[in-house]
Amino acid sequence: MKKRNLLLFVVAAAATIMAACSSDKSATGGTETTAAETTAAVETTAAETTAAGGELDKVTLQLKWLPQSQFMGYYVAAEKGYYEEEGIDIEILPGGSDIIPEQNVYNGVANIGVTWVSSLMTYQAQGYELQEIAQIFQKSGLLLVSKAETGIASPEDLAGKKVGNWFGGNEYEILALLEKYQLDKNSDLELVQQDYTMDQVKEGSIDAASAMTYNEFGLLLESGIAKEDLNVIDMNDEGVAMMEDCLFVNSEWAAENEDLIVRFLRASIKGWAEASANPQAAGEIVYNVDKSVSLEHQVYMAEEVAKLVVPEGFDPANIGSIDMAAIQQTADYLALYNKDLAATPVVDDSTFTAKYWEEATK
Amino acid sequence: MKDKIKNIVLPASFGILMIALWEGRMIHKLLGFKPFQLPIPSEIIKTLSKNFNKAIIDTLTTVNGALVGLVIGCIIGFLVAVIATQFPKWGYTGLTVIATFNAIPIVALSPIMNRWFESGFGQKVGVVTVVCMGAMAINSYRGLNDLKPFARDLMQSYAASEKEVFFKLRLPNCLPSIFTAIKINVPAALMAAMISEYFAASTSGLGFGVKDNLRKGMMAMGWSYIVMASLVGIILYLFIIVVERRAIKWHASQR
Amino acid sequence: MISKKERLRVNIVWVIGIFLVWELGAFFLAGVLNDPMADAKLPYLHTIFWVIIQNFSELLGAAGLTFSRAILGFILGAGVGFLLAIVMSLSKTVEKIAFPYLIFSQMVPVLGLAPIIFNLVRDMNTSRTIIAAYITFFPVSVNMLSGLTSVDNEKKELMYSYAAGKKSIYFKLMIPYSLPYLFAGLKIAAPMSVTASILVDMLGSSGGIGVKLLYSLYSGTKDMFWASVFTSAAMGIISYSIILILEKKFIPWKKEVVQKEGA
Repeated sequence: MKKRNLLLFVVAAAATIMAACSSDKSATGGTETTAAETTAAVETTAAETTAAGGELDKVTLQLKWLPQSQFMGYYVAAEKGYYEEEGIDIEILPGGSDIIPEQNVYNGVANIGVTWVSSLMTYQAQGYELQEIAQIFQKSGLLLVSKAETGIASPEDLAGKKVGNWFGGNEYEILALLEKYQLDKNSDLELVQQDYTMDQVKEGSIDAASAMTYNEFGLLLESGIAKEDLNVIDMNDEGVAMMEDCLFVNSEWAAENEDLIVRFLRASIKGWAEASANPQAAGEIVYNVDKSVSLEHQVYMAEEVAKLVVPEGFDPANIGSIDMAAIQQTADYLALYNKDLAATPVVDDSTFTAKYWEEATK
Repeated sequence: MKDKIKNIVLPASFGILMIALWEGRMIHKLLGFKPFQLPIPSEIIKTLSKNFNKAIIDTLTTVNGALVGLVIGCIIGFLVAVIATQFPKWGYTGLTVIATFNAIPIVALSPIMNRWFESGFGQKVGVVTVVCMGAMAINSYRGLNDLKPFARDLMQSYAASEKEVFFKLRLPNCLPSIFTAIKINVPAALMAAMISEYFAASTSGLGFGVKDNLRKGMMAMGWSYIVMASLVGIILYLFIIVVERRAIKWHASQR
Repeated sequence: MISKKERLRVNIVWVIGIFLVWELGAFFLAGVLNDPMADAKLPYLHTIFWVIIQNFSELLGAAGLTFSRAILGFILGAGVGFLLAIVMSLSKTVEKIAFPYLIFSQMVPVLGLAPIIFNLVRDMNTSRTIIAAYITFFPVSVNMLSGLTSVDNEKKELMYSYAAGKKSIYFKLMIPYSLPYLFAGLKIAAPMSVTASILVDMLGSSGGIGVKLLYSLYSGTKDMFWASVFTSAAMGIISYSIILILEKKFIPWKKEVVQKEGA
């Protein structure tokens, strides 16, 4: 009996120690980054005096996906202490396969979220009181990529082919493209779900796959396929682009934290401006946050994302501005291709509000 | 007969009460939900009836894959248990190996199966098979070996052969455990089939419906698929219980 | 009974056997069939191990995080599952009422469940533990219940004839009798709690094997992906072995039976 008790104790102790060790690890990990951030903040606050004396306001930012250069602006701003300058203690929450930013921002798990405009609109139509406060990506990053040997030189050639997309709200641009070329999504071609790798294109089980310029397309190139061997259909060129990464908040929370939002935007825009001007450095900063993806890929992604945030001929002073015409086109396509939508998307000041951005860039 | 009525009435009335509270938004008030976060039953039913034909086709797609995988997985699991019983020295480690598969998440299994099988169906069956093996192997091993004290000694005193011990003693003793394993595997198989559809190269099935709609924020649609999945789960489960009752009438749990 | 030394020898043979079969399979795919997707279908085992060795500390850290969460989720889930089984065995009525809803609970995917839990708890870490426990409790419950209901009526009647109360019947007869069933359930649940914990890593955690898996999967780094799969399998073996050890200590009478059988 004694022996049994002893064993029980040992097992319990081992379990506790293990749990304690790892939570310690994560805790120290957390303090390390904040320590780095604080030193950065101290240096900068010495020069500037904008920081709100000591007390920092806590803001949590929910990303749409894993930490990667897609979100480099926020990481640069955090690393360089721009949020502290504005009196903000930022916490960046990574996304994941079962994380829905709209839900988390509405629930209050996070204050501010990053998502695609079309996705945001669907939630707004359901009754979620969410509003966009800035449009980070000014262009669509979606491509339809196929191996040259499949002979898809233009969208018309998609007829009779197997076309992939991730669905779950990512498919509207593809549907708009098919409609533009009068291809029926059910009878003229086969539309299938693709998994999140690019293997299906490589092995040939899908003819044309969806790919983001900054991520999947790069993975294809990195896997050794030459650019010349790939055919690309760009949604922007086809005029069926829908807006992607934007920042949004819970309207109720926003009404009580107007000043905080302005300060957050100011710091974030500063981060994005710097990241877009120097993607190489931004990619390295993101790589240091999480080393799971190679440095080359983070830098590649940073370079491609910069082209979406500051497209050719776009004034970097306007980073984050909301192009209402583009938003309207997104809304129109959404209403057209999601027939089950609870209500027509509303595009006005209550749902897409520019006032915080205007205040922040004044 | 009275018992049978009680068996149906009680769970049903509890369910009706819950649904009424849910419909009356009492649950929402209690937990602080808005109706668009957790759709109310009437909304779910309305959406479901509007898309009923598609929902049925999707359900069949998923159930087919889940059942085929369930059967294959259970057979493999059972065979491993038999081998571990008859060849304790060499076979026993096989149980550990097969239990290990339970630790590989479906999220990782699905893309691997995507490479192995081009069709969504094959991928689904592959995933479900792997998921179902462990529970069956462990439970039937317990049933094959957890014999009543002296039962084996008795058999030996009759000079029964290894084969007779297996078929006359071990196998009947194992039946209840097989049913226990199937009971665990029914919901697991359906869930595995659904999650595999998150990644499958097709646009049909309950899992695709759940993921596609919940991601898009189409809550009522998403939940109507969850309701379909639950209904199928409960029906299959009841079916297993009925079969179990007939197959092992003699067992203590059925009295 | 097989001696420890012999068991070890058997296990070593198994490991070598699996290694050889795997390597042959991988060679067959890559070398004979020239399958272009061989590295995704079945990469060489030695390359996977090489990647694990190269990234050992990183993987170990991630595994520690995931495993500690798995233990927490497992204890919570197994506890809930155990209690549920006891309650259901006490009253057939409760069992009848609860079962359809238990099945329903198993059919709600994390994608649908997570927002509800988040809304209730509003804390990511607590939510993750709850979800991990939620995934784990079912097999424990089902197995324990089938153990409790398998107790022969004669035995119960014997206890009654000794004028034993319900409590002492449970503690002296039902629960000890059900222990083998409970442990069968725990053996299924233990590796499952690792899966649950990995799944929960994917709910916006900043570390853990789940995050490694997602990253490597989505960034096409096949070798890291397989290394993560292996790490999770290793965690499964460890958790399973812990239950095996506990089983041996808690059901000493079972060992006797096994010994007799082996004889």
